[in-house]
Amino acid sequence: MSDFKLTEIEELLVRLWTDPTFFADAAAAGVLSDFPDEKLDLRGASIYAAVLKANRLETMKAICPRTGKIAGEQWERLVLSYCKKMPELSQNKPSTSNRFLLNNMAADFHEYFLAEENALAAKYPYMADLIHFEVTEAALCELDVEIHDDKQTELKDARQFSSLAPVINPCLKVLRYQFDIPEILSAIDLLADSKEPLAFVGKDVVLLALRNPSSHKIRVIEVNELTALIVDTAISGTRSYQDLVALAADHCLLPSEALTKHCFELFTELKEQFVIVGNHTL
Amino acid sequence: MNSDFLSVKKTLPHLGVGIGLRRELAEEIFAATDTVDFLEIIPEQYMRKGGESKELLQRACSIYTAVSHGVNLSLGSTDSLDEEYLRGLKQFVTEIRAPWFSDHICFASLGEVYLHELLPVPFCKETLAHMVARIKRVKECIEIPFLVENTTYYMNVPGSTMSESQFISELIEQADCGLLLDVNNVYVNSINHGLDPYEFLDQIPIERTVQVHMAGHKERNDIVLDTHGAPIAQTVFDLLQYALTKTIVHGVTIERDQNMPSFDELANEIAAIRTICSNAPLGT
Repeated sequence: MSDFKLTEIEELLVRLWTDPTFFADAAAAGVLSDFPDEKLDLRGASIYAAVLKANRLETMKAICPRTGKIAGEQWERLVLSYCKKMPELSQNKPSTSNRFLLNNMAADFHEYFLAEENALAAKYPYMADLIHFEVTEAALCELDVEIHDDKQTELKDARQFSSLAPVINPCLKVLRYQFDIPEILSAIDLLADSKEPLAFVGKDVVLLALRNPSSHKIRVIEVNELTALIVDTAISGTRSYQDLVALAADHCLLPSEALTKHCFELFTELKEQFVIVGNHTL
Repeated sequence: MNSDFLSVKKTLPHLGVGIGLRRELAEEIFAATDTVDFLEIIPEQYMRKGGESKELLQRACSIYTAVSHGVNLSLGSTDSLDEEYLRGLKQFVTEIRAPWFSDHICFASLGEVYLHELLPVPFCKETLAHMVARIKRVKECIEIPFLVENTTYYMNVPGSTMSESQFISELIEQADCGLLLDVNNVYVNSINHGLDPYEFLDQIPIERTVQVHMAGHKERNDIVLDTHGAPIAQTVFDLLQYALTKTIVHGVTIERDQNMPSFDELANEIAAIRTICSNAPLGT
């Protein structure tokens, strides 16, 4: 081997395969400048360039299909620009981020979009929320947690409020957006590829996105701020139902008896929707 | 060369003829216990994952013996070995009770970014020393037999000073590991680089082969691509037959990733492989 180190060769190869300008210059010269004595294998280099590009576009489309549909002809540029920034974005991230998994290719996509894609964000103000939702949805689908749906511990009456704490579905995220993401998802699904992209008026929404313990499908539930606060607080597993009712009392004006009844109904509903998947005794 | 691996190989189970687990065909594969002997599972599709993936994996392993065939160990990369990945892989092979595991002679990441492709390394002494050291580290971490697979390479990589067969031979002997011999890759490389595939099989320490891969390829203009998307060619069956005259293998698997056929078509390929294996002079 020449004086070149393996690291330098791999960097050179990846640049050749992923940087079209560098590729064009090398193709015109017929050699890689660092290896003037070796004729550039243009056919082989083209194959790797095409394969890497196709992989990136397909993987990102699989994770963010609706963003891809809205971005249209901007999609390729958006994805490849993001991929170019990946090494920078992935620096200083914890080693437990499982970057070797395919879905994690999009882990920093939202961060990238907010920082770098002002023109697209101005044209599609909802796109940042949409990207965040799609990446979160893909992550929840595969999140490595067991969801034990314990049907034996349903609340029988409000007297159990002080001794039991709800167990929140461990595969759940509370999401706050500036656009009505469920409405946007439906609209995009109905949109033909050739149609002009839809415009949406901003509307703050709070969503619970969670994985169904049996079907493994992701369910999205729109909730009010109080419900989100209760769920957020209950995630710790240390707060009794009574604590959560007291929290609710601080945030609404219902009389005590009506509030307790309302909370009991809310807990029952959250149980039916797999937000609460059990109780544990404090 | 002294080899612990060849002694270990003798103790490995004979798994028969299997197939790579693919979601599209999972139900048919699970029902075909009279056709499929074992499964090969890509760990990155299941490790550190819950939900549907975990359920599918548990079902697969309740029916079949499974081996692990990874794509992201990135043995040729100059990134430091991903210890998180290694821990995940160790947990995975333990969970599925794999008798051996494998990955590829390639690099798949650079600058801590995974490229999700099997990328060619320069065949040279520096790469060799680097990969030998990494294989030894992998063997220390995961204490079941480890195999490396010969991959396709579509480009003459700058800095190469050795032939592929010379590189593979020195790699698996110095690292004292096994070989997952992909005979379709041998064929594809032979056409693309003007080599004799039979000579290649004569040149490598083929006795280190534990498992063989069979797959289809596609001819496109002046190049042959390892697509895993077509029926296995007769030339590849012929190479399998030749390889089995030279060594005993412990499992043969079909890889099919694209252009999915009916399961019956794959069952016919399994039957054809089984016939070749049963006629192998050294047995399988």
